Amino acid sequence: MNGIRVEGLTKTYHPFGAKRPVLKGVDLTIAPGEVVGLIGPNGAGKTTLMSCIVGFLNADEGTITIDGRSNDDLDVRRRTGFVPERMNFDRRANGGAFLRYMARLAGVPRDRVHARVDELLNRLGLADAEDKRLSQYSRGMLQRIGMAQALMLDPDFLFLDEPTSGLDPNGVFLVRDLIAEEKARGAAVLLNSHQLAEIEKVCDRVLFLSGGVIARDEALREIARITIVVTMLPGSYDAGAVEAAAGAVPVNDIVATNVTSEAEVAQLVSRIVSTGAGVIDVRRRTADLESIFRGEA
Amino acid sequence: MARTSLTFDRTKQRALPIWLLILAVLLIVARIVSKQYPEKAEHDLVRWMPISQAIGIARTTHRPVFYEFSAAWCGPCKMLEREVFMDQDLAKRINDRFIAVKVVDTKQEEGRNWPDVQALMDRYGVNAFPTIVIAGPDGSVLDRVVGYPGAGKMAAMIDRPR
Amino acid sequence: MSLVVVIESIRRHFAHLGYIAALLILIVIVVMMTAIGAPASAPYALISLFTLVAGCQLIGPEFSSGTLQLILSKPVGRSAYLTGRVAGVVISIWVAVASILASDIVGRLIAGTPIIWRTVLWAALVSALKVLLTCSLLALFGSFTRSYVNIGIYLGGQIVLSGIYGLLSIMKNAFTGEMAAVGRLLRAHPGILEGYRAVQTNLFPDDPLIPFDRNWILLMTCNAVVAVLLACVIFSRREVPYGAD
Repeated sequence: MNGIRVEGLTKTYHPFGAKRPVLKGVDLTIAPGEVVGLIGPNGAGKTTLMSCIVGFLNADEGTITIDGRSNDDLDVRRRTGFVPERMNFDRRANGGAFLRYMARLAGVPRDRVHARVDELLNRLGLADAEDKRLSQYSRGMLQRIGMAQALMLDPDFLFLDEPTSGLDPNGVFLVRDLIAEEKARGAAVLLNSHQLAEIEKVCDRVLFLSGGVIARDEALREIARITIVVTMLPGSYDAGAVEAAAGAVPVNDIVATNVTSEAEVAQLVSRIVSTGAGVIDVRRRTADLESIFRGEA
Repeated sequence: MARTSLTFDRTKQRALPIWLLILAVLLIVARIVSKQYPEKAEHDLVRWMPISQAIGIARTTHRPVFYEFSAAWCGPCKMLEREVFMDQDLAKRINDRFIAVKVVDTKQEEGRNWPDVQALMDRYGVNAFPTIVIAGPDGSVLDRVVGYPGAGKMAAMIDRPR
Repeated sequence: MSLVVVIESIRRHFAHLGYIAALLILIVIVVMMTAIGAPASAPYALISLFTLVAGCQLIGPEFSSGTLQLILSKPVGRSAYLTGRVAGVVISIWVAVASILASDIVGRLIAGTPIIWRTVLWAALVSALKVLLTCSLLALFGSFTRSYVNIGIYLGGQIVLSGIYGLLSIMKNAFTGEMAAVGRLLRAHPGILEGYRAVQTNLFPDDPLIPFDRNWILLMTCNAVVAVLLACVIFSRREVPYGAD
């Protein structure tokens, strides 16, 4: 199965006759089993981009293919799950009825509907709220039922818009686990978020949308990009020797360098120690999202 | 992909329902064909006004008055009724454009007419039936036909701009 | 047409206590009306209110509330959804029409008044067809607007079109004054007024003059189908922005 591929996506809004270009040629790919985060300032077009990919909006130019097919394909829809930021559905319906309707719309076989809905309610911790009206659901519960309806058919393509906004820590952990489960199943996941910390924990890659294009595409888990930060006891080392061993100049008793494999981490530490330096801390640093966001990195 | 074009491809979410298109075409054709064969009414569809009120209403609505002078024994009057006043289309046009008044002569049956009936017959010099007189709200004669000239000529008379 | 959507629309109507209550009250009123000998078409006057209340929910409010995004993320065709909604709403109101028909018959049986089947059945059919056309028009107006604008267009359109027609008719007979020029134009080109009237009667048809008027039946069904088809065309291309309101 191929993943999601976007090429040259352009979208311009026309409010009251004026022109407001939002996306100016966006390219991205998401492979099956990859979790990609989308970050960017407000108004950058994150929601627009996601809406175009899912098919809510019509792009002006460019192509979107999901598993090699058009994003308008019903078969692709069957394999897509979309979690809205805000659940706004018939407030009078109760949770169970809503999910059963979603199940039937998704095409779950009639005899399986109840079983599947119960399964999802349990998985998302909403079993007790099945008979409660949606209008009585808390923000966190609404978010969870939003996830439940998206997972109805074990989607291969999952789109989440601000999935953890407004959630308590338990909710956040639940979403994190769910995303990990879906990733393990081989789903291609795209998520929109302002929560940089969450993105760092959950995503394999991060796309920074700015100025209508993908300005940065950072891989968060690439082994080739492991940055090792070694802290040494002040005064216990010779700067020149450490520089020769690590390939980087120590600054403020800290030396940071890139390695390409876990084995190299051990070798690096060993080399530094053998120069006589007192190593007191070794840690990995993932690409710092905050600095990317601020345009510093 | 960029342009969203119309499609009937049922594998796409935006597909249009071809069954609905076929149904629409069939119904449009049926409508056009059926209009050639209008249904006949079982009764007179013209909204006849009483003589006394007609002039007043004509003045307020700025419409001419359509007088139909007839008698019970008059054969052509029955044809006029059947072919014009029972026709949905023609009756509707009469109702839309005129204030219609039916003036029935009862001399043969009762020996004399009601005073307002006689007054109208005298005013417009009616001595044969059917006679159609189209008069302005002030009473002036705009059009007049004696005898039943056929549905086509009646239609032309009804539609003539005034 | 999506059967799931049809069934859900119907279910939602009958789950609504207000609808059931209104239906019961309607039945009681009708039985009383027919018992005192009201004409066959009188009870159906209330159905137009029912239709407006039920039909205004079609598409417009769903667009504004964000419901449509969830639906469209599912493997349901846009047109299948729209036609399913229309069918569901129409069937729900037809249940009310059938209830009135039944109550009418029951009322007449109770009162002992004679039942002229032709008139009684025709009144029900007229009402049913009016429901179909009204809902189709509301779907059409909802396919490109948001919230309850569809019902605004429907009611406003009806009032404005008929007002303009009245004005044009008066102007046509104007020989003097400011309207004389318009009057001359209208008299010289009777096609203008006829064309206008044709548009008006196709959107808001007059009541039929004769029972089982084949042309009227075809007018109503044809226009309803065309309206829904247009609605599908518009809706299939419509953007459904997320976070609309």
